[in-house]
Amino acid sequence: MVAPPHAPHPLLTVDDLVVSFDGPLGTYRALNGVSFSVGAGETLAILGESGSGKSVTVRAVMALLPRHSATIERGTIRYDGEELSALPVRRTRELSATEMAMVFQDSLTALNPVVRVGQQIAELFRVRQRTSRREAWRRAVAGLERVGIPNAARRAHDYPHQFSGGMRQRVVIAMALALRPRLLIADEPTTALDVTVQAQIMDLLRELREADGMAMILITHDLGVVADVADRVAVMYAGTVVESGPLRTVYDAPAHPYTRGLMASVPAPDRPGERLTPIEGMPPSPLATPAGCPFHPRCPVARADCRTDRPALRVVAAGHEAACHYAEEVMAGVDVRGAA
Amino acid sequence: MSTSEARLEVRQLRVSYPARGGLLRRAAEVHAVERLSLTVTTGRTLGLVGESGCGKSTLARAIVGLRRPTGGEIWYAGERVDDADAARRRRLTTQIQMVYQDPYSSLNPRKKVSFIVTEGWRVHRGQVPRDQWTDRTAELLARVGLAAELADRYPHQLSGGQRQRVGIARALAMSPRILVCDEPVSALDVSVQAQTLNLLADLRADLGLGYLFIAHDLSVVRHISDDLAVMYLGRIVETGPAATVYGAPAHPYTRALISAAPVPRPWAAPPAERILLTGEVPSPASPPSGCRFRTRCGLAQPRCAEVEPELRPVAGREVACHYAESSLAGGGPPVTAVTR
Repeated sequence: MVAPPHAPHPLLTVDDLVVSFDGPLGTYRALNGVSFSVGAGETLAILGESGSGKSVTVRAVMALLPRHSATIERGTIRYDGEELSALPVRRTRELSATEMAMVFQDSLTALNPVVRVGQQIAELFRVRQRTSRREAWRRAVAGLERVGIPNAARRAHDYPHQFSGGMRQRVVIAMALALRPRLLIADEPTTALDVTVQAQIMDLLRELREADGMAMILITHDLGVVADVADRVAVMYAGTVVESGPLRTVYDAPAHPYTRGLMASVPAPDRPGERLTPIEGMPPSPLATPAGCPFHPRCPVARADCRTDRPALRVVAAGHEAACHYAEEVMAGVDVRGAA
Repeated sequence: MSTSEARLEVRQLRVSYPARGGLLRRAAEVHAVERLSLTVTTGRTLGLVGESGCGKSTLARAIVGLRRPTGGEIWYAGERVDDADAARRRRLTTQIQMVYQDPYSSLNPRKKVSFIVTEGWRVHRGQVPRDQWTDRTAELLARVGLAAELADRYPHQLSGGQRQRVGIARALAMSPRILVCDEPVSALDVSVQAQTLNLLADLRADLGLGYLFIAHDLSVVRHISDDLAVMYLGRIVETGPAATVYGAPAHPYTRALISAAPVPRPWAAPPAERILLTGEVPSPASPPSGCRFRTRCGLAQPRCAEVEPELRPVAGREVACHYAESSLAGGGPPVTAVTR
């Protein structure tokens, strides 16, 4: 895949990434040729349902895949010109401590339960920047203040369980941003939170991202959360990116039938009670991914060649890519509903 | 299936939990549900929204008899339910059934689907004669869109969506009139969620069921509900026809909740006011004095700390807010409203 023309300086490029796992039921491919890129300062949302491979993708980038069961079979991960997959894991870990940072869905497991939160953040400055103990603590408190924790100086002495879910997610964000990374990866950062708290956290992420000029990869299954923050969106299905492009282009004129199906599945606020148009069937098991296009068994526009030829991600309009033989028809809005 | 209208009425219900104080301290009580009233009618859906900890699941459990109320009354079809003796309770439980949130933990992993669906008939002898079980099970599975051969499967062999359908079939096996659905689609992926919502809509239309549909996702609740009730810290703060409440929310909490919910294509809708609530839901163990929402409310006045507002009719719905009229008119200056 070539870098899209509107992102002249991609910070992170993932190309044709294939990752397999050894599971109890045999070896299966969790990722089957994932390609995308994120420009400096850009927010990319990776949208997908459970099992689509979105979390495996970013874990591969962060070198967080389980060493014994996961294998990167093919593909490249390039960060700021450096090819991570060719480097020892240690170098990636170094980068992932300073240049790239990650916010996980579950803030309770992301924090050490027996260490004061201020200490957990201060440790980063001690280890990575060799600051004095006092300076590290001072910066940790400043970090907590920055993410909107009231009485940060006092709260820094508290343990993770003493924070509410939303406040704890703020702590995790403070920790991720401590070393001013250029790329923040947020894996379902608000899924465990209530909607009013979710709005606070997403607003915070947007503010901080703009202030630091940081790039962000947001992983989510929520089409609405994507619409709130992303510049571009990559849609994943069965271990591949099936469509990517500018947010509004993808949402308003989806070029992949799966993306179109997702859009039709969400209840429209202005048409309550109207019958939804779900995607028929369910996502394939990674142990039995269909031949040809992985989406063809559920696809209302599938034809004979979709069962045999796997479509590659290809440019369908400026900056807009889709992996569908009939993307042009889908974009033109040829009505395929009810054809299934 | 009888078609006469039946009503489920909850009157001034209170459900309390003992709260552990410190060592040797007298146990206090947490009122998870406090003086709550609502009515569910067959053929209609009452949507109940609220954030975690507001007491909506406790309410559901009290209605189906899994939790004993500590005050108030529950009536069904002119009969008081909550004080029923064991025999009457058994008869009533067939009328009011529950669909649980988590299709993973609500099905016995050691039993086949055929056992799970017929379990109610084992308890309620005479509901369905033994020699009809196989046929009736096949009928029920077909009714919820599952193939008959799935009767011989175990839950772990099914997808999340299929499991939720089994949960629905199990509830339908008792030929209920009212279904209490506690977050029935929130564990499901978007495309599967749409299938399940369509199924629930079909069942309501075909069987004349009444739903109490509990969820935190406003777009889902709005989609399926005729009436809406918004819950905060154990109490209903606003209730009325869904179109009225959703279209022009009068309680500051309802306004915040609706404005915080992410919309898939915000650019397609008219610019909406955005109210960001500060803080999080206080602990139900120590609710604020007066109005329970006042600690997060931009409209709060001294009076709100002193007098707890009761539900009263305002513009076609009921609202528990002293300043509902000014809130409905767009709120006073203290509300931090930003246009997005």
